Amino acid sequence: MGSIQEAAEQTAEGPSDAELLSRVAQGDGAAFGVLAERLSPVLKRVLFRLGLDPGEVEDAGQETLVRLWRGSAGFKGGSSVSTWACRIAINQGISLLRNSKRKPAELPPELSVESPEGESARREQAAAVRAAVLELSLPLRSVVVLREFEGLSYRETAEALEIPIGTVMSRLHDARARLRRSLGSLTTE
Amino acid sequence: MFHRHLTAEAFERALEENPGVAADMRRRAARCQGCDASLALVTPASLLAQWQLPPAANQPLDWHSALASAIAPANIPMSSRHRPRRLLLATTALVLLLMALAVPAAASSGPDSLLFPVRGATDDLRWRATARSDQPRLEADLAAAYLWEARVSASRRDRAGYRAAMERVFIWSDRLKTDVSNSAPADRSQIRATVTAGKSLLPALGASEVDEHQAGQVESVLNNVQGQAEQDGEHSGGG
Repeated sequence: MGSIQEAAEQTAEGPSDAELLSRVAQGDGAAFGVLAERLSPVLKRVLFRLGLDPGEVEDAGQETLVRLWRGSAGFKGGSSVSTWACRIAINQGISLLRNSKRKPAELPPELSVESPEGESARREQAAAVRAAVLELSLPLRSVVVLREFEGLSYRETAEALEIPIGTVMSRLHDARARLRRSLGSLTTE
Repeated sequence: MFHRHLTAEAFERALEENPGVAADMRRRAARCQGCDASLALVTPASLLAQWQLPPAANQPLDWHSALASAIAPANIPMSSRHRPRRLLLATTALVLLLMALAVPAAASSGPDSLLFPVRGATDDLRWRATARSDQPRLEADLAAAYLWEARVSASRRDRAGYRAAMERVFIWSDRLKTDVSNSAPADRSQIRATVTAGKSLLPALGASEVDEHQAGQVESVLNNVQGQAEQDGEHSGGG
């Protein structure tokens, strides 16, 4: 599982996210491309796990990049660029889901990247995990996506969702309790 | 001793931000079964890891399109994109509001009023919206109404107002002269009565110092109208 930290580590090979963003703010399209490709995996994972379908992920991802371009000049550096991008993506995703009539859990289960025969039990478990996460309310789901899947720290999660750290902790506590109840019969083996 | 049990989340946060505090929490938890159980809870992260995403999740976003959208004038923010349309809507709403206020006020405005042109436009709209057979009666009413306005202007010695009112009298009496033959037989008597009432004002108008022979010309037109109305009435009456 890739995490947001992995995306940040890639900056060691080139300009940092913050440097790229400052060039984006000056209208540097090439820097925008580098930054967009660097952030794409994180943004898409976040949007998929929020419960968007592939088409919605593309739409929300594009809109996130558009907002990143437009907001680049106003970025004050209070958080990392990737955390800020996640905040935009989460807001886009939540907005799409709230405007959508369907429930995320009604989506057909996604196929894993590698799903060889004989792994039906594993796929069932994956579908159960997905259903359990998508059953969570959007505030709880957002915290789970950033903290449990993307590995953000409590502080980063709070910054991305623009909520107090205490709220992150209580939401995560609540979400974990619900997930334990839903996934009680599953094993990690 | 009663105390608030530690939570796994508080412990994790302490581990991230202050390991010393985390170590202290660990020591305190060892003295309380409830706290110890909370800290021993396994996070569901390992279970969640089983949810694998579709291959599409690994494809990069199309940043070229995003960049084009971001800088294209057609894709400026919604508020700016719709600004001209909003301005048009606001202007239309303002005009409609002003009209809604001005039209009733204009209905009784005299030639000396700023709303007198609005009254003329409203009369014309009413006339266009009226059925052809009903138009002569409306024309007679309007001609008589403007004769009354002319009378008021004459009594005030308002030459400009008198001229403006008489122009309207000419407009409606000329139309009446053309259309009176189209009027419904049942309306003829009412038209004749209206014309007669209007004609009764003419002698006074003709004698006023602001009259420039308009009263005589109007009388001629109205006589024509009256004659037509009576002729038609006799024809239809004689069957």
